[in-house]
Amino acid sequence: MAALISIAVFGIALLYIELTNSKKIQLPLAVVGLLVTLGLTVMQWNHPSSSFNNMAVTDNYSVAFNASILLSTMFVVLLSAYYYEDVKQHVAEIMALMLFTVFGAFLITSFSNMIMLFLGIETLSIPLYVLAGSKKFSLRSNEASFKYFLMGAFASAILLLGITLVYGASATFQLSAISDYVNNTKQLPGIFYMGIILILVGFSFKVAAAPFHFWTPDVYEGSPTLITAFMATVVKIAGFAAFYRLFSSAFSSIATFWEPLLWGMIILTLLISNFAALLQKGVKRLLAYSSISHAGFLLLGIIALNKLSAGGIFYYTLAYSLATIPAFGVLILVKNHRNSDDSIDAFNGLAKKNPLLAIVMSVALLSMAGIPITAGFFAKYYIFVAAIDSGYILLTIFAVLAAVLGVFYYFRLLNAMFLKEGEAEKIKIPVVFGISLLITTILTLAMGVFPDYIIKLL
Amino acid sequence: MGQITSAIQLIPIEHYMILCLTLFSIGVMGVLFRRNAIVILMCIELMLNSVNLLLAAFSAYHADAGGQIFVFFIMVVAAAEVAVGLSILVMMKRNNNSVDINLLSRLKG
Repeated sequence: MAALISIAVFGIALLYIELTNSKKIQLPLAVVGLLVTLGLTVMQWNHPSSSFNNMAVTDNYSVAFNASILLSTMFVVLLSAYYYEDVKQHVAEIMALMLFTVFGAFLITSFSNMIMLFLGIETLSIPLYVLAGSKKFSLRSNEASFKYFLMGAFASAILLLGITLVYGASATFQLSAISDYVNNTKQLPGIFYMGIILILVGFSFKVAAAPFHFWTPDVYEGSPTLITAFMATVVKIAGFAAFYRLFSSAFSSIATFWEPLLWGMIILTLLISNFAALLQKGVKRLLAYSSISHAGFLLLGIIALNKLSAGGIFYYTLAYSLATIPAFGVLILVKNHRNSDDSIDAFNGLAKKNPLLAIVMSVALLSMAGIPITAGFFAKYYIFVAAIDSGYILLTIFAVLAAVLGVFYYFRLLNAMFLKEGEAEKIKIPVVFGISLLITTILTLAMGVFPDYIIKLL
Repeated sequence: MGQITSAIQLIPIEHYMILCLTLFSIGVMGVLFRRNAIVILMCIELMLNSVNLLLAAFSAYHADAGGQIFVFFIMVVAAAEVAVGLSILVMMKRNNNSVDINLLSRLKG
C-alpha cells in the first residue's frame, strides 16, 4: 500500500517538475522515487497484508515481482538520460507515465479480486499506449501506438467478457471465493468454461503468446527503442505474475480443462517465434520475436503449476529483463551512430573498436539463448525442471529443441559483432548509460553463478 | 433494489446473455472488418458496453451488488481509454491526413 502511494506521488510530482523544464532534477527525482518505492516494497517482505477491503494482498510473491519491476524500470530510466538528451520537452512526462505504468503493474501482481485485475491491466496499458506514440511526428511511432491501442483495448474487452461470464457462474469476483465455487460445484455451467477461455485469450494478447502475438513485432519495432525496452520487460514481468496468480489460485482445481489449451499455445508460440526470428534482418524485430519465444518458455512454468513454478517464473522474468535492457541499450547506441540503421549488418565489426559494448551485448544474448554462467541458463533450467516435475516431458523436449533453434539467431548477431568486418568507429558511452549497462551485465553473470539466492526467495 | 431485482429476474438470464453476446459479437466484427479508425473505436465501446449490460443483468440475477460496482469501474476506464485513443487518432490524422487504417502498413516483416 505504501509503495503504491509512493509511486503515484512521485509520478504526479514528475508531472509538475515538467513545468520547470529543468533536466537536472527530472532524472534524479525519478530515480529517487523508484528507490524510495523499492525500499518501501522490500520492507513488506515477510509482512503479508491486505488492502482495499481484501481486494489486493501483499505477500512475498508480489513483493518479489514488484521489486524486479522497480529494478527494471530503474535501469530503463537510467538509459533515458542519453536517449532523451536532445529532446527539449515532455521528458518528465514520459518518466511520469512510466511510473504510472509501474503503478498498474503493482496492482496486477498483488490482486485478489477480478476488479483489481482489470483496473491494474488498464492502468498498466493506457500510459503505454501514450508512450508507444511518444515520438509524435514519426509515422512509425504513430502506427505502433495505434496498433497497440487497438489490440490492447480489444484484448481488455475480451478479458472483461471472460471475467463477466465467470462472475455470472460464480457470483463473485474474489479469487478465493471462485476457487471455493469450483471445488464445491459438481457440474460447472458452460459459461464458466467459456469465461476461462476468454480470460486465457485476453491474457495471451497481453503477454504476447501465439496465436495472439501478431501485434508484438510491429509495436516493438515502431515504438521508440527505449519504450520498447520498457514494454518488453515491465509488461512481461507483471503480465506473467498476474497470469500465474490467477490460474494458480482461482482456476487451479480445473487445470485439466485449460492445460490442453495452454499446451497448444506453448507449441505454437515456440514454433512461430523461433522460425520467424530466424528470418529477421532488423535487430529490433529479432528481439521482438525473441521476446515472444520467451513468453512461450514462461507459459511452461504456468502449465507446470507446482511449487517450483512461482520461483521459476520469477527467476526467468528477472533474468530476461536483465538481458533485454542492455541488449536494447547497446542497440540504441549502435543505431544512433549508424543513422538509425538497426539491421544486423549495423553490428558488423563492433568488437574491434568497441569491445565493451560487444561484451555487454554478448552477455545479454548468451543469457537470452540460455548458455551457462549467464542467468538465462538457470532460468530455462528451473522452468524445465518444473515442467518435468508435473509430467510434461514431451513438451519440455520440444521446448529444449526450440531453445537450440534460438541459439542460431542469437549467434548470427554475435557472428556479426566478432567475426565480420565493418567500418566501425569508436562509440562514446555516456556515463549514466554505461552504469546501467554495466550493472545489468554484472547482475546477469552474478545470477548465473549464484542462482540459489534468487530461486530460494519464492 | 429488491423490487427491481425481482422484476429483472422475471426474464430468464439466457435472454440477457443472448442479447449481450450478440452485441459483443457485432463489436468484434466491427473491429475486425471496418477500415475507419473512428468506427473501430465505436465498436470497442460497443464491446465494453455489452459487457456492462451483462454485468448488470448478472448482478441483478444473483442479487449481488458487486457486478454493478464493476460497471462503474468499466465506465471510468472506458472513458480514459477512449480519451487516449482519440488523441492518438488526432495525432495520426495530423501526420497522415486520414484515419483509414489501411495506411498503417509501414511496419512489416
